[in-house]
Amino acid sequence: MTIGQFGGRVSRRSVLEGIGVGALGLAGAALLGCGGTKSGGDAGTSAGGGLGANQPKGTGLPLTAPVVQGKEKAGGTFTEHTTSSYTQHDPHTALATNIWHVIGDKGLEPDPQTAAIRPHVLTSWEVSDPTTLVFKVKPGIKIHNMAPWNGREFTAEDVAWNLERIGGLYADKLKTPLASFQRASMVANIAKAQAVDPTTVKVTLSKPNSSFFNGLMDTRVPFAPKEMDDIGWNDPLKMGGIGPFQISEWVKDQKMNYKKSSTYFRPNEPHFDAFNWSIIPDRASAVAAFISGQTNMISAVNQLEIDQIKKSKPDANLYAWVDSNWHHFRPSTEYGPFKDLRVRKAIQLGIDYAQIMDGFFGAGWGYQAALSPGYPEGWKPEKVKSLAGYNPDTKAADRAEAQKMLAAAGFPNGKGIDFQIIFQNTSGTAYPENTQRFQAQMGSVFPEMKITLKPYADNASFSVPQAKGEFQMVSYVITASPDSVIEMQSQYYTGGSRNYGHFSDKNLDAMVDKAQVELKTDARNAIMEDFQNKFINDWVPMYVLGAQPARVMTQGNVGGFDTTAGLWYGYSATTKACRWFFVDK
Amino acid sequence: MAKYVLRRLIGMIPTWLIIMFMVVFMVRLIPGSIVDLLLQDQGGGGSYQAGIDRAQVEHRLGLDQPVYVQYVKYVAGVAQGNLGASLWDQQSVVSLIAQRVPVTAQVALVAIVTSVFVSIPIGVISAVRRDSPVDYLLRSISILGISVPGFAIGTAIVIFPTLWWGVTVSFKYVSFADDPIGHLKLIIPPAMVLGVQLSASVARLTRTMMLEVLQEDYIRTARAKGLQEPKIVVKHALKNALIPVVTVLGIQITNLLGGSVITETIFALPGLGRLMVSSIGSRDYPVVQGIVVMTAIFVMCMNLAVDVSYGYLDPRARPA
Repeated sequence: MTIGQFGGRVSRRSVLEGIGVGALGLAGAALLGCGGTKSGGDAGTSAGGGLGANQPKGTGLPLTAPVVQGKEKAGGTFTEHTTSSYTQHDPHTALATNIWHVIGDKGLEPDPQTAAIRPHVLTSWEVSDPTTLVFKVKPGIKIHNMAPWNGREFTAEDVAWNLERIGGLYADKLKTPLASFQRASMVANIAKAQAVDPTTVKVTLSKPNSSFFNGLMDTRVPFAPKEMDDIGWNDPLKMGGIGPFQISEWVKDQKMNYKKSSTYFRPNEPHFDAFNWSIIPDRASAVAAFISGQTNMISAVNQLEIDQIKKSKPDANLYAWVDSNWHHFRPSTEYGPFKDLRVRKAIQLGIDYAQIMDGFFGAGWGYQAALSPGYPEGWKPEKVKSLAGYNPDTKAADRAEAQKMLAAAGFPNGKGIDFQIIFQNTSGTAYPENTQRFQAQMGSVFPEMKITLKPYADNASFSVPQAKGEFQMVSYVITASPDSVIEMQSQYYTGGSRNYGHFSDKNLDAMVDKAQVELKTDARNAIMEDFQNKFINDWVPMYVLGAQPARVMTQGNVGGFDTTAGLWYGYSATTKACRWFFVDK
Repeated sequence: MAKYVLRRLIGMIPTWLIIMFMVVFMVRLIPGSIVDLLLQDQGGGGSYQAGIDRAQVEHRLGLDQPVYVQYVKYVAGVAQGNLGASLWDQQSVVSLIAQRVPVTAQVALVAIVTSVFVSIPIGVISAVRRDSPVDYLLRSISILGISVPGFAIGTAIVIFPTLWWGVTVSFKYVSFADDPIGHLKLIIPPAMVLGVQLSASVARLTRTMMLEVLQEDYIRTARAKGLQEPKIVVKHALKNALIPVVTVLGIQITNLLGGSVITETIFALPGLGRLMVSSIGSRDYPVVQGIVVMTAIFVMCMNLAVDVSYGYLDPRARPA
C-alpha cells in the first residue's frame, strides 16, 4: 500500500493504519497536504508578505517569518559563521554537527513548522506487515562528481547500507563499540535492510517500531555512499555525498567551504553557487561580521544584538519561533526527599516559570510540560499555561498548595530539604540565571529549604557529573528528538540514555513499551496523552521550564528563509540552505 | 661562548622533563574528560549508560594506562620528535602546531617590531624632555596602554567601526602567499593590540633607564668633549639603557604567546592561541601537551638568547 509519492501523487488510503503512528500521523497529513512537497517549498518566488509580516503558522506557535520581496537572483556565495570546525566526520557515530549535514541528505525531512514528514530521498513506503517496511528510493539521485564516485547513482544498496550502519549492525565488523552508533535509536529494532532492486529497500524489524519514520528525519542520520567505510572518515576533502553542496575547501579553524552540486536531486536547487562557513569564535566579532556584511546570517541573537543590528542594518530580517530546545531542572530521584512525589510536586507548583523564562529570554518562549509543543501530540503552550503550577494567575494559590503538600511530606517550609544544583556557568547560557532565579523563588516559597549552586566552568567538566547522575538537581537544556516516544524513552524510561536523574517507574516503562509497538495513530496518541497527564500529576520526573525562543537574522537580500523557519528548523539540517537565495531589491 | 650555550642547553633537559611531567599530570586534573565528551550526545548530555563503553574508549585512546606510564611514553615520543596525535581527529600534533605557528609568529613579530619602533623613541623622548608637557603626555599614554586590557582594545577595534561606519576587520583568513595585502590587513589589528601593551611597558622602562644613564659620568664627559646631543643620546646613552630593555622584551615575547589566545579569538585568526583554547575545551590532551611543551622550549631558548645577547651588548657580562 503505497502511501506517498514524491512529485505529487497522494496516498490511496488512510496513511497511518497499519504502520501508521503518532507522529507518523503527521506523515499522512504532510503527504496529503503537500503532495510530496514542491521543490523548495514556496522558495521559488519571493512575492508578497513584505518585511516584518508576522504570521502565526503551523502548530499555532508564534512564528515570525517575513517573506522577502524582490526578484530572485541565481548564484552568489552565502556565508555563515560557526565557532569551531567540525571535528568528527562519521555521521553515524558523530556526537555533534558534522560535514554530512551539508554534503549528505536524509531519508525523510520534517516540515519545519508542523513536523509533518515530507518525502525526500525516500519517496514512498509500504508496510507489508508491522515488521516489514519497503521503501522506494528516489531514482536518479547522484553522488557528487568526485572520485571514486564520479557522479554515480545513489541506489537502494546505499540506503540499505546506511540503515544497517546507523542501527549499529556493523559494529563488530568495524570493531566499533555498538554504543558509538549514537543514532541507533532512530532506527531501533532494525534487523536487516536489503536492496530488492536499485530503487527499493526492504527493512526487517525485530519488532514493530512506531518511531521508525520519525527517526529517519532526524538531522543526525544523513545518508552517505556505501564506499565510505573503505575511504575512511578522517579527511573531509575525500567525502562525497548526495546533498546540495559539495566540499571545496576545508581548513581547520579557518573555513569550511562548499560549492553547489550541479546534480542535486531537488530541481533548481541549490540557488547559491557556494555555501561557506567562516570560523569566528568570538560572539562580538560574529555580530560585527554580520553587520559589516561578511556573513549573511546570524543565529541565536539576543535582544541587545537585535537592537544593535537593526540600528546598523535596518533591512536585516528577523525570524523568530518557539524552538525545539527546552530548559529544565532535573531532580535526582536518588536524593531522599526527591523520592517523595509530594516533594517533587510541591516544587513543581512553587516554580514561577514565566519569571524564569522571561528573565533570560524575554518574549517569545513557549510553555511546555512533558513534551515539546512541536510534537503534534504535545500539549501546546496555551494549554500548559492554563494548568496548575504553570498558570501565572493561580500562582499564589498553587504556592499555598505547595506549602501544604511539603508540610504533609514532613518538610514544613522546606525544612530538611538541602540540595545542590549543578549547571554550566558559561557565558551567554541561560543556566546561571535560571538557577539563581529558581533558588530565589524556592527561598521565598519554602523559607527553610536550602539550595546551593555548583557551577562548572565548561561543558566538558559539567557533563561528567550529569552523565553519571552525580547530582541532586541539574539545570540544563535538551533538544527534542524527532519523535515523542523516542523522547519519552530516552528521558524517563528506566535506564533511558538521557535519564540522568535515574527516574524509574514501572508504569511509565510499560507505557513506553506499549507506545513503541503501537502502530495505530489514535491509540498511540492516547498513550501520549496519558503520559503527559501522568507526567505532571503522578510522576513529576522533571521541571520543564519552557521551550526557548529561536531568533535568526538574515541580510535583507536573502530570500526563502521563511520556508525553512519554524520549530523543526534544526531538523532540516544545513541542507535547508539549498532553499535560500539572494534577491535583487 | 659555545661551551656556555652547550652547558645551558644541557641544563634545560631537567627543566624540560619537569615541565612535561607537570603538563601530562595537570591536563588530566582538569575537571571533565575527553571520554565523556566523546560519549556525549549532540544535545549536550552524556550517556547514562556511558560506563559500559568508557573502558573501551579509554583503552582506544590509551587513557586506561596509569598516568606515569602515559608520561614515560610521552617523553619517549617527544624525544623522537613525536608529540602524538589529536584524540579527536588523529591529526599529528606536530603538524597541527606547525600549521598554526606562522600565524602566531607573524602577529608577535609585527607586535614586537611595532613596539620597538614606537616604544623606544617614546621612552627616549620622554627621558630627554623629562617633566615637560611632552613627557607627561607620553607617560599618560603609556599608563593607558598598560591599564587597558588587550581584550577590551581588541573588541573596541572590532565593534566601534562596525557600529559607526558598518565596516570592520575581515574575519576571513587568507595566507600571505594568496593575498599579501589582505593577509597584512588581518595581521596588523591583533598585532597592534599586542603591540600597544608591549610598547607601553617598554616605553616606561626605556625612559627610566635612559634617565639613569643620562646621569652617568661618561655622559657628562661626552658632553664636556663637545659631542652633539643626538649622538650622546643615541650612541652612548641608549646603547647602555637598552640592556634591561632587551631582557624585558625577551620576557614579553613569551607573554605575547599568552596574549595571542585572546587576540586570535577576537580576530578569528587560526594561530596557536586558538588551537590551545579549543584543545583545552575539547580536552585534547596530546595537543595541549604539545603546545605547552613547545612553548616551554621556546621560552627556555628565548631566555638563553637574552642571556647570550647580554654578552654582545655589555662585554662585562660575557661568560668567562
